[in-house]
Amino acid sequence: MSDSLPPAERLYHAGIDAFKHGDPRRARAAWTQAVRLDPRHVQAWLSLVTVAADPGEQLYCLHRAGVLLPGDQRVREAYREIKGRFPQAREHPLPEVASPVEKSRAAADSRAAPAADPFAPALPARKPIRSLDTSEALRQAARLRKQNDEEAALHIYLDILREDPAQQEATAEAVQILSRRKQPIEAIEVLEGSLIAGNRDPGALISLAELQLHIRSGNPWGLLEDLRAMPDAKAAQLLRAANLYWKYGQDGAAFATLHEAEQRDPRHQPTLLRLAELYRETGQEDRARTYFQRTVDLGARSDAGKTAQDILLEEAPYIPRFVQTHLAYALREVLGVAILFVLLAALDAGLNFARIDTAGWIGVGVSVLGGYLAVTATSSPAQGIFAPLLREPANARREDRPRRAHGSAPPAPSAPEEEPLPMLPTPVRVLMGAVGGLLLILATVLVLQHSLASTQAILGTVNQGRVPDMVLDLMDQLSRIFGP
Amino acid sequence: MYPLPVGDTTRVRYRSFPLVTVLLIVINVLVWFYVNVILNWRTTLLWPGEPYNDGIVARLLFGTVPYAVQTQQGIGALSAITATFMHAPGILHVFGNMVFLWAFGRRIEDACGPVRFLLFYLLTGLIASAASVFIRGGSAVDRFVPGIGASGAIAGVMGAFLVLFPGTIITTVILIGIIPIPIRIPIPALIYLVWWLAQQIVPTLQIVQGSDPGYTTDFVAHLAGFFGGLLIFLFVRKDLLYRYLSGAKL
Repeated sequence: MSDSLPPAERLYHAGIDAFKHGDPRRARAAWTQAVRLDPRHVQAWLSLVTVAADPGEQLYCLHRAGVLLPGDQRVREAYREIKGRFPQAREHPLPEVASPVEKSRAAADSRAAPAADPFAPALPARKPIRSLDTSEALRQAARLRKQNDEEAALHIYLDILREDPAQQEATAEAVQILSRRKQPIEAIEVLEGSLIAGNRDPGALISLAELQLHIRSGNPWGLLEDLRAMPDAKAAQLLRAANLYWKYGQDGAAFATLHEAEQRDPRHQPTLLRLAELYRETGQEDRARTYFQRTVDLGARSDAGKTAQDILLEEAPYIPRFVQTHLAYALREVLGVAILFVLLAALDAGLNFARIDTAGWIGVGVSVLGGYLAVTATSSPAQGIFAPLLREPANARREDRPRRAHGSAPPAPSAPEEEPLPMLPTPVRVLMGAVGGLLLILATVLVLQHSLASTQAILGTVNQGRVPDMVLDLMDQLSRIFGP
Repeated sequence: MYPLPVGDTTRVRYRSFPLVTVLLIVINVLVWFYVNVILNWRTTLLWPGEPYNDGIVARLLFGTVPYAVQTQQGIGALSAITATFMHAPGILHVFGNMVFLWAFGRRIEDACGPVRFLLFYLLTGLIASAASVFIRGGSAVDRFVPGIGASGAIAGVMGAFLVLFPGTIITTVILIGIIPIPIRIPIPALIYLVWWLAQQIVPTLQIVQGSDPGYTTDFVAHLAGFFGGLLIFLFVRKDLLYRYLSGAKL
């Protein structure tokens, strides 16, 4: 026997060997150990039928196998046959594998129907051990939890589950308490009992898969597949499943599950955020940024939105859509240019704003226009004013893309696409930039008309090898003040 | 003893090459060399009998002389720009300014991008020159003295640094006289720049009141340029402005 086999499998084979060697006691011990380690080990459950101590144990083992093999007629027939031969027999777990929950149930059963009728009919005949109705019991348990009396709360939840094993809230709460108390086996028993009894909560499936992964037993991946096939599984539940896939190294399944979640609820921010994070972790920065941005676009006030925004803000360059399209963000740059030209015009007029002439003010106006065109052409080509009119024609709209047929296989993770930002076409930007540049040159000439004319004259003087009069005048003044 | 800033310890976000900062330093050094070395030597060595030193003529012509600006003489408003590229003959003036520009300019250029950084630099230089002309123009003596140096524009860069990156740690080396001690001392930008700003206030007030002892440093231009640095918000990159407005780390 290979050491590479899982422990449960090795125990199962050990049981087979013992059984073949005529030692049913040792075989039973091995198989019970196997199902303890892996409650989804069908062969071990079926083998236990052959060494069960009584029909009740046989029924129990067949029941467990039947849950794992829901379509297997032979198991059903075997169950019906035993039930027919021993009509008063009722399921009860093998003592070796009975969980505290089951032991608790068994004890309650024995209290409810003492030795006089050890094979009393199952659930319908049970007497309730609590006097409260379910909703009241749940409220009482919640109160106890608030008072930190988890033990008492757990008893109430288990009590509820005795009557209605599929009760979703009691299942979830009991599993939570048991998990916190580091009792994964017991939590698994509760969940399996609940699912067997008809609990259809996808959350219970995930919890069971989480616990099975935690103790490395059962078939958690099968449970997660079942979950993905459930049409009523919500995006949040698929997100939990995806996190499990990711945690245990199944990256492809994680992405596929997240994309399924995204498809079921495209506005579920935690799913989009997780996709972004996983894309970033796998080095797909562009896709990551797109998903971060989509998360933020759905609202930056939620936890996921805030996280996505913080991550984007840490990265450069990140410009939110509204900033790219906002006119004010473009105009503030124009304002900077305008201040520069006003100051130049004032200095040209002897630092006297009142002396700025008409040409100077026209120059300032031209600088505003030129600055706006230059800014639009370079840093703000997606402004709301122009862009919708002059958008790039190559932009394919999101809804034009083919969608996956319902029920078909999940698509492989593909490049997320978002609505492209309407932007001025490149030729228009080049033209705007050129015109803007020319206007800025014209504005410079207009606001510096006196200085340019004066400079031209001075350069002429200097070129003739003479010192300009203004300099001589200054030297004269300075000599008078400071001496030669 | 004076702590001279040489850089900072925080990473630059965009990791762009500080093209304009380097170009400004190169131009300033070349202009200084041409005006104060070549023109000066040309006069003294080639034409010893020449009555006018070309270096001095250049400083009077291209420096910001309040009298010339106010009376629209010389090169007028253009001198407010050319003066930011002129420095005094002593090498410490240009050296000190360029070290400050290197220490603070790279991060501001990174925050703006090269073109907007150049516009911002010119604008703070203009503001500093305009303030200097406005205040010194009222003085019977100072109105004839040319204002030169990049310190007004660099003060604007420092003001912008204080507004945008107050938490940055500035690396400084200690100068004893003109001798640098090769030990790098980290100082928070907030402390360093506020300390620098505080040094400008009293002399500026003295100049404004006309009671200054005859400073050779244009403290008015420093202070005006520093506050002109507040206009940095008109020039920074959009995403950086958005980060700033939303309270995120720059």
